[in-house]
Amino acid sequence: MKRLIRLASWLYPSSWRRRYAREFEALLDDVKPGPRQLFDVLKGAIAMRVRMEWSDIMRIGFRIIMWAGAGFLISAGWGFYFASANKAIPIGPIVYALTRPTLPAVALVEYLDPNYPLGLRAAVIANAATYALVGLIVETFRRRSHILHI
Amino acid sequence: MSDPNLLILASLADGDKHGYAIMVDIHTFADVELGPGTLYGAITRLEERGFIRPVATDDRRQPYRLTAAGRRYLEEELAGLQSVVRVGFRRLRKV
Repeated sequence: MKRLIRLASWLYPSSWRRRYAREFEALLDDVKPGPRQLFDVLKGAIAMRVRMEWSDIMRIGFRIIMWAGAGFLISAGWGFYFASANKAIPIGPIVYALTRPTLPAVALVEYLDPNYPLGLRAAVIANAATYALVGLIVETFRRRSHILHI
Repeated sequence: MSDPNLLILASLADGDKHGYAIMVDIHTFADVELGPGTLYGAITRLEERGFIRPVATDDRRQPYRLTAAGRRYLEEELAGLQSVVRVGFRRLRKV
């Protein structure tokens, strides 16, 4: 039974184990082993895993929303700029050069079909979604590199 | 009363204790048997909230100490419980 309880303790998240494993195993040496203790350790491991995973999901979700928000604001800013720009003055190449990397979804549509009628609302939504996707990729890599460094 | 957070804080109120000593103490004063998973789940939460902190030791058994914030929190919670107990007894006497 003691061995089973020790095995169950390995179900705790690795970050938790790094901090508490030594003292937790010392406690497991002291307690009288039984099915109740086994169930309690299993329950504790699952609860801790859910708690830590959930906080990770919330943190990553929040960052992705920030990325989408940045995409929304940038495309809305460009929309406002083009709407308020003096139509008599042609838009300089530097402006177009800046729009492409900051509006990747719009640049892609323009590249695939220059005559496609992309409205402001669609452009804003597409850009927010693109930034959210970039955010998801960045956060995934960030999480992986964090796990590798641990 | 079976809230492991309060039981642990109450146990640490009279001095530093390691996990097993906390379990034994709680069993003695509250007749509650905390399992190792429940105990360490609560210790993790209490440490994160700054209510307890580990005390330096070379032993595998890690003692914990109640912090000032933990003491304040315990006092507030016990005062709340005390008023519930007082009202409960007063109403029972009326019946």
